[in-house]
Amino acid sequence: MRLGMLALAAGMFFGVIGGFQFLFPEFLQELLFTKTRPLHVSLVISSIFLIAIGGIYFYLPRQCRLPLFSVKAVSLHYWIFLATGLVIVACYLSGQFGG
Amino acid sequence: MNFFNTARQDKEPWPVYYWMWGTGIVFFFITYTEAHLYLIPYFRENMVREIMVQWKSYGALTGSWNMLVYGTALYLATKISGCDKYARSKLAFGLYFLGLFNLMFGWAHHTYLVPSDPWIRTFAYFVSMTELFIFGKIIWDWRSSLEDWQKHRHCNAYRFLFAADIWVFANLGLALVISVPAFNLFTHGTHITVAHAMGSTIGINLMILLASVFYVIREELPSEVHARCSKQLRGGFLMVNISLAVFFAALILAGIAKGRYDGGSFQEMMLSIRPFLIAFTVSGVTMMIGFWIILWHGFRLVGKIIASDGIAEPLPA
Repeated sequence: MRLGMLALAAGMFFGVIGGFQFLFPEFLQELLFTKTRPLHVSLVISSIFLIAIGGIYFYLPRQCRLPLFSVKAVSLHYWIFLATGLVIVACYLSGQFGG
Repeated sequence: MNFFNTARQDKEPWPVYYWMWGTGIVFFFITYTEAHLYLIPYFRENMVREIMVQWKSYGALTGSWNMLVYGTALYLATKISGCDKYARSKLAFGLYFLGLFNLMFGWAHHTYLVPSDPWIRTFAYFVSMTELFIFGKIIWDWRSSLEDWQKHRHCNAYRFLFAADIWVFANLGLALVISVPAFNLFTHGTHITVAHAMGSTIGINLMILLASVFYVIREELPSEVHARCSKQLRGGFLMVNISLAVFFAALILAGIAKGRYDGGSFQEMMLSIRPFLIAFTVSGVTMMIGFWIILWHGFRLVGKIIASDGIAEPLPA
């Protein structure tokens, strides 16, 4: 959940930069709109998944009284999500979009 | 895998939120895979096929995360009211099956402009409209059933769910209009599409997820929210929703003007909508500030919960 909240905060920040760039195309040439837009969209959508999944991982054992099948898998899920997310953000920032 | 192996330990008939969560997980994998089919030459080499698959996949991907979010909303409604009926009623399961149907077939309203078969578009329109309405009704009925003490006990979670309910109806109104093929012809590719996307994502999905965050905080740290940061959270909440309303309206107005563009000077048209874009940008900044206030407290308080006992561990029997 906390990672989701961080992603949301960052996604909003890039969204605001994108908004300014929409109005003033010369704003922040070092980080073009072609980068801020996918950063914004990817981060906020990631935050939706992260917060929703974080909630599910909380509710199942604590409220539904169903012990998690694998606590290690939860940890693995988190670290894979974080690692791939950071790689994706790095790719966007460096302009590597594939295609 | 973890979810299904955990949930199947429950031998009782599953409440609707388990079904929604499971469906969201399965269909995320399917639709995310679809979104990457462009890597295969068969899809990439035919433009119509490529656009259909791409637009279809992202529409259905949205449906998959909506399943996760609706499941969370119904879970919260059940827990706040202390009554299981919202998760086991025929209406709730009706919403689930409609959501599933919409996830699988509602994407077609994203592809009106692609030269596909006409029956797909007609089908898409009818499917799209029903889902939002039923969800709004469930939350509306739930709200009216709550007693005051239940609302106050989870005041922040309730507040966010209340906002989500209002935004469901606002977005339903807009979605109804833009899903009509004749109107879609004008609104496609304008700021109205952005208003729909962001209004739904922020107004519905994020409000529900923030309700989830503050429900967790209230359950684990009941004294913290009321004692310390309630005023700031209320302030952040109001800032977000007022800003979102301005944001939403500005995008719709900009989109209407752009939709009426008849091929003259593009620069003149963009200059004419500049005041709306300024309102959009300024309201975006204030909305971000409001969210940062909320997120700061959420982040801080969830951190306290994690530090105290490790969030993924089950409670002792």
